[in-house]
Amino acid sequence: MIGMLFHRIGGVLTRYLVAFCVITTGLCVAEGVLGIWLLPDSRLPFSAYLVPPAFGLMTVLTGLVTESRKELSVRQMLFRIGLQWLLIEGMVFGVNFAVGNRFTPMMAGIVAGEITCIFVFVYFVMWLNERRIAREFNRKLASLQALNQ
Amino acid sequence: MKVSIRKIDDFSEEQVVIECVRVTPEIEEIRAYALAKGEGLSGLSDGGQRERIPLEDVYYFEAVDEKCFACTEKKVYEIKQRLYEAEKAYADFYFIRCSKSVVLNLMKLGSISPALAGRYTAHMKNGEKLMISRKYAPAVIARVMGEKG
Repeated sequence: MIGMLFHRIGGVLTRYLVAFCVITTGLCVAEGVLGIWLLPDSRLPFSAYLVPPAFGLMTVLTGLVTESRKELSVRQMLFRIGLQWLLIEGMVFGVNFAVGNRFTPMMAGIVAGEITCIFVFVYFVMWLNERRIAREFNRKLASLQALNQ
Repeated sequence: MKVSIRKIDDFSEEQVVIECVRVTPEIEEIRAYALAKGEGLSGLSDGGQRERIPLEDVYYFEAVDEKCFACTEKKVYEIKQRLYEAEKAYADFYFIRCSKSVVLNLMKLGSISPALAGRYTAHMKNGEKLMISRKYAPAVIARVMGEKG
C-alpha cells in the first residue's frame, strides 16, 4: 500500500515536473520568437527572466483539473484537458489585463495561438516520454515472460 | 544449476524443493513459477457449471457490479473472491491491479502503449485491450522494471 502510494506520488511529481520544464522552455522560445517578430526594439529588465517559470508554475497548477479520484473515461479526460486549455488561456489574458497590458485583436490571436501550440507541445513531449517508458516496459516484460516459460 | 527429479507414490506429497545458497531474484522467479503451475481456482462458467480454472490461464480478474470475474482466453467465470482478495492472493503470481476494477496477469500481457495523459493501454495476448489507469500505472511499470510496487 505504502509502496503503491510512493509510486503514485512519484509518478504525479515526475509528470508535473516534466510539464513545468517543457512549458517554461516553450514559453522562453515563444516569447523570444514573438518578441523579435512583433517588438524588435523592446528591451526587458532582468525580472523578465522570471516570467516564463512563473507562468510555467501557474500553468502546471491548472493540470490539477485533470486529476480525479474517479477513473475518468476518455471523453471525460478530453473534456478536462479542454477545460485546462481554457483555464490557461484565461489565466494568461487575465494576468496581462491585470498588469495593464492591452492586446490588439491580431496580437491577442497570436498569443492565443502561441498558448495552444505550447499546450499541444507539452502533451506531445509527455506522450513521447510515455512511449519511451512503454517500449522499455515491453522489452523487460518480454524478458520476464521468457524467464517464466 | 543441478536439477533432479525423484519419483514418489503419493500425489499429496508432491513438492518442489529449491536448495540454494542465497534467495536471489532468479530463485524467487523459480518459486513463483512452481507455485503458479499448481495453483488454480474454481469458478462458475456461463452455463452455471462450476469448473476448475488453472491460474496460469487467467488473463485478468474484473469486478462488475459487486461480482468478480476471472477472464481466460475465451471464457469468463464468476468467482467467489472479491477483487482485492484476488489481487492479494495472486500478487506473487504476477497479477497486479491496473485499474479500479481490473487485476491483470502480467504473464498474459502482450504489450502496453501510451494512452491519454499518463494512462496506458494494455494489449493482452488474446487481443483484448485494458486500461492501465494513471493511479496504478507507476506500480505496474515498477513491478516489471525491477521494483516490486
